[in-house]
Amino acid sequence: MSQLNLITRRHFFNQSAKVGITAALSSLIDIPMVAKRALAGDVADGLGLNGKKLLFIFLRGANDGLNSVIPVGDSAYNLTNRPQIMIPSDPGLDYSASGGCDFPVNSSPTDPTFSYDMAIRTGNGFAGLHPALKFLAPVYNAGDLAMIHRVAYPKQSRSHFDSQSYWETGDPNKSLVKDGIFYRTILESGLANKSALTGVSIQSSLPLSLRGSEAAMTNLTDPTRYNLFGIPNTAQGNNKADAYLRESAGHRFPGKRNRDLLSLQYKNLNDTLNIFAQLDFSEAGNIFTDDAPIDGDDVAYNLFPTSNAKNGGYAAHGNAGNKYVVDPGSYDFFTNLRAAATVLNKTDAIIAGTQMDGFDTHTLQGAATGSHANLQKRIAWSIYALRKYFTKYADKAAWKDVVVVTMSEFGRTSVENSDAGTDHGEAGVMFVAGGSVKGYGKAGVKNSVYGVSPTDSVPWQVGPTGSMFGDSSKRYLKRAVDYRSVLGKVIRDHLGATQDQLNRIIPGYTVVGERLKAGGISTKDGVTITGELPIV
Amino acid sequence: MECNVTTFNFHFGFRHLGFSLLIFLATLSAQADTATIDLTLTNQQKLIRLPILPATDAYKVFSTTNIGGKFIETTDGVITGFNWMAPLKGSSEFYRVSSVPLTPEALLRATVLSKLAYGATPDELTRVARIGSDAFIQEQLAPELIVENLSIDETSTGTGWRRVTVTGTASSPDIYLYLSSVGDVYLDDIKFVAGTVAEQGANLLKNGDFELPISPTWTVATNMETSTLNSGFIHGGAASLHMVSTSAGSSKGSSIWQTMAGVTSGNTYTLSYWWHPASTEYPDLRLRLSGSGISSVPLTLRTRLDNQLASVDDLRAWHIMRAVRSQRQLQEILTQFFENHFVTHVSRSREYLDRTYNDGNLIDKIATGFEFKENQKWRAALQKPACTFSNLLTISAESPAMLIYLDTVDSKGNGSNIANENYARELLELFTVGVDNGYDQNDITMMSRCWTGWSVDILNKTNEFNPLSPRSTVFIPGATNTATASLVGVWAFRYKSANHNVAAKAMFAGKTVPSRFGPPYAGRSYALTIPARTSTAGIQDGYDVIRHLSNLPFTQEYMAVKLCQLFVHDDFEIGYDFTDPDLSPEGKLVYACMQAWENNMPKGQIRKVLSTIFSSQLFRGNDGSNHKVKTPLEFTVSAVRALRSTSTNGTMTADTDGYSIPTTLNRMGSMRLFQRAEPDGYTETAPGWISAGTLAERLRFVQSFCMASGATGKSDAGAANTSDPVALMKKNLPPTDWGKGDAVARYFVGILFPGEGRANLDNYTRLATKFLNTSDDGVVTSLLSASTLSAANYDTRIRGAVGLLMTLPRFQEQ
Repeated sequence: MSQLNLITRRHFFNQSAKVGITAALSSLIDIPMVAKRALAGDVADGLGLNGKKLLFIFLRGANDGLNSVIPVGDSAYNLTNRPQIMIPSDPGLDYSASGGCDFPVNSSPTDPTFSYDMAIRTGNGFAGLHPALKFLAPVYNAGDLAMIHRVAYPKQSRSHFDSQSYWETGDPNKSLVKDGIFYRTILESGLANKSALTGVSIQSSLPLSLRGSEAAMTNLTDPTRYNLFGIPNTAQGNNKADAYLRESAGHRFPGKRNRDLLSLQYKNLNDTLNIFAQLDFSEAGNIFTDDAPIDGDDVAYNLFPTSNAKNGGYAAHGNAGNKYVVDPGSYDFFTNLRAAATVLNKTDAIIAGTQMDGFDTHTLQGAATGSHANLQKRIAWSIYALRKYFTKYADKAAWKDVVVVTMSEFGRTSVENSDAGTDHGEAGVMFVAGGSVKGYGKAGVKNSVYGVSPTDSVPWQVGPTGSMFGDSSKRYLKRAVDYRSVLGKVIRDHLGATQDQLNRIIPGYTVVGERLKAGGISTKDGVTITGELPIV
Repeated sequence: MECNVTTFNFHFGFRHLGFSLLIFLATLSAQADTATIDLTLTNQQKLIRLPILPATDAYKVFSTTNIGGKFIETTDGVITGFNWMAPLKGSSEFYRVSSVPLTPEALLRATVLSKLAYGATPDELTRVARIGSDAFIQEQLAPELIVENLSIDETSTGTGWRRVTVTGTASSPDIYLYLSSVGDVYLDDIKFVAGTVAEQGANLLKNGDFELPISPTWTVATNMETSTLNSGFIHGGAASLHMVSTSAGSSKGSSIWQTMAGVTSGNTYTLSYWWHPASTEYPDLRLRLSGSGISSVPLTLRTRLDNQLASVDDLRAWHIMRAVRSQRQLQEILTQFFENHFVTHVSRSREYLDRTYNDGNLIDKIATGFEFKENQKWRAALQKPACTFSNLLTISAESPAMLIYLDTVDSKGNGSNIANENYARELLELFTVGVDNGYDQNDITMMSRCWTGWSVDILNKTNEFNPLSPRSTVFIPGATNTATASLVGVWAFRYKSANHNVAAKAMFAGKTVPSRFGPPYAGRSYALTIPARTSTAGIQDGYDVIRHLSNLPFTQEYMAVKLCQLFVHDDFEIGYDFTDPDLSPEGKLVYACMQAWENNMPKGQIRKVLSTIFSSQLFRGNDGSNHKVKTPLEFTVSAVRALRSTSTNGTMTADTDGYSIPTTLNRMGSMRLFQRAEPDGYTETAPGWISAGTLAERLRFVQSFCMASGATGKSDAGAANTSDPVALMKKNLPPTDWGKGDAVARYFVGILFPGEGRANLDNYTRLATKFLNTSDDGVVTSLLSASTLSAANYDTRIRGAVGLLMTLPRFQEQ
């Protein structure tokens, strides 16, 4: 596999460097570009060295994109196909009008946060937003958000596990790829095995996107527990235990499977313990607030709702549950999101992320309220809060340098099932946010809602034989955008990878038939896709 | 020490002091090969860098001044780690290095205790050394012949009146009597006295003998209002309390309670009482103080599990304690493997039952019961010598936990309803043939229709194992409504023919086994056609699917790969070309497993496949030794087992009550037993478990576990995870060694890393020795033998060294 070659080259390169830089440069034409630049002292703007960062949120279980960014203008989005879960459009609105995204703001501080229960007009002339996504509106209207519909890949798998792994490896339909797209991004940055923290996830275990056997990425189940003990458990005892553990890092053993992995992760542990000792991840340390009140309220909300008291206007209005900005079930997620943001903001890590669970809504999905609606609240508030956090509290990562991207393994069936839910489908929705995202209102961008309009470069077909029924079995939303085009664009044009690097990070990126860059008819399955979109 | 003829032998010549001529030669068995060995001269020292080879127990260095002459073992040098050093002498010498590996038996012993068991215990290392590793394998393959008397499997026994006493620290003067489930029980002569001796001193309870009317000494909650004094069943005096609970109790508001006078929180008291069952059903009785400072559950853990009165926390604790204590170690490994393979999620069962019940405790008990029952069925099946994969798959398919987890329970295929595909998809992808291994979407769609009607319902107890029986019609006595929640019975598999898709189904039509499988599989058609079936006959669709999938070559391959990954190493995969003449040893072992599956009747016998693995060279040699990383469950359980023996005073030198480990498992990468959200189960391979963050949790666990009770940080892993390494060491080393850092270090290195070889562990031994002979500041020498080292500090020092060894990378492996 390519990354193995890469490592081999890097090892070789390191050895060669000892005998002479000139010789190394001239003899090793396959050295990654960034390594050559690093060697030549030209390090300012490469991947991993340009100060640009990425925060990913994986929506596990497959988000129902049709109920996130809603094709209001498609007559097939109706009560026949979705009798119990359809989000109604607002009879008082003209969804074909263009402009910014409506932000249904409350008129009184005590009005329920989510009193509006119809599709929010996005202003792209066709699509609406789930009302629980209302807090995306200010981000969109600031020009910091792109919403991309009909995202999938050729020969879509409807298995969670396959499809999640394809998204996370960046290489669809190849089950044997065992390392992740962000892992390879970090390998290409040249920072792997040099910086203590490069890629970090805050969740139950290291996700595939950051997994690989040649470099240690870090997952934190609970960053407040990130220190060790000694016996005796005193300052002296801890130092002694720590010193002996570090001494053991030099011990050699016969090579066996997983021993390199263990060595790398022990090294990473030793390297990161010191960094984390400086950071406050405690709940008491969650003091980050919005810079101003929003939504008609008179108090500025906490950015990371990790308790009822920190959830929207709950505490300010006599413990009013209808003033929550997210459901109370989401506090663990926002604890993780805050930690991911902190790591990105306070360390040299270039990629951090977490995941949101619960999107596999086979039964009782709900409409404007219910389980899917609660998940939409989490998505919207995450993006809203991250923008404010990286603006107001910027340290090593400012909002202009951060891109937030959501991923989800597929969309869901266009037709509701007998359990008032939806089954595994094909294309879904991605959100891409950041200070340097080329969104609505910026430099001639008239709208940044992609993939969900009949005027799109790959037009959305309406009606009972249209895009919502666009595959052979007539149940799934047909793709118009490849997820690799979205991630590839961000990795190259935001994080700073060269095209050569990107071709290794996303194998086959410029293979002509894939049409990932310029768009066209994919030779994989004959579907027309848009190629890269001007999102960053 | 004998020089083993199968060792690697390295020769090199050393011609002149200043100019080394290096000649490397290694022989493996009889065949010569070359290898690179390093020789340097520094500071008047000769240095040989020893070759690093698996399972090296010792090195021998031989020398001669005449390369044509006899090599003599030299004692000039000292080995530190993998360096041999000796002072320069006047004359030139030639050297030969020989590495002595562990004996094949010693290597196999370490492997079987780390793979067929949740890690070695000191006593098992001794026992298997005595009986031999192959005898251990044969013993473990037949768990039904292993006699077990575990305290955690004791059931509540006795008849008539039974007495219970419990001593503890008071948390409140309020005492509650309640039943955690609907039911009744007789109670008499409850006494609550100061101190640790039951019934000695004044009874601080009023009317604990129930000779007076219940009220006003006791306050009776609404759900307990039908309780009465009873003169039919009496332990003492003229009456007892017949406690009747019409809904589950849990606290003051659902109990019979009183506030005692003269009880001080923080002081020690002893509660004693007599109880008598009111029927053949076990009562879910609790007596406790507010805050649970003193709490009594009269039934044993196992009895509560057997009678669906246990919470998922109880089940996890019992499951973990079995992993630590059971002598049927392989059975426990396999039960966990199949529990994880046929993964279910207790929360999904809870969510389903929540439609019927409001009582969270009751819901948890029923959902836990689903998990316990399927696990017990797997254990029972694995005790049958000819147990097949099909037997195990059937247990899973019929389990209410699975029917609910993957949505079969509500799936309808009748009329225009579209069957839920979830179970059919995962059955193929994850439970039988493996992903993309011989099926397509159409097969999934067709198969999803076969499962329609397989559901769960509440049945009469006598109908528990008859899925064609009707729903229970018996209501809880006194029930005022006919809601499902008021029915008496047991939740079980029930076939609802009205939901079934009655049409004929054709699966795998026209498909044949690919050529890569080779004979006898390649080219076989594996089409499955199911005729139209109506009424109760439709249940057969599911059983036909099970029978068909159970022995497909794809299933054989997928399960063989998973079992090889469990028992050998991670690098097995689906998709070998079994016809390839250059097939890897891994591919060949998978194929051998498939042959064992295919050629023994009935097909798919688990023991035949396991025997194939256990007799393979991949398993028995270095490839089967320490190439795997422990899962969180294996890591924590193996840590307890590693120090677990019976000390001279009869207590265990390491123990756990099982209750705190689930929290730890969650921290080590979200390994929640019986609660895996994704149907792929927890990974068996290393990268998914090992990152800096999860390692931090693993290290904290063993450090906390090695602390003395009461130490700061002890509760991090759970105060009930106890260890006493000093007692263990003193039982096994002569008193003359107790003060010798190197002897103590060698002992613990030996029991913690049995598969590695002493020479390979030299650095670990030296590190632990140095730790033992260094004060807490990590700098000043402080010999373990020093008379100034207090007993407490001696204990702490050894705990620290053992904790250090268990935090090292090699303890992560199996």
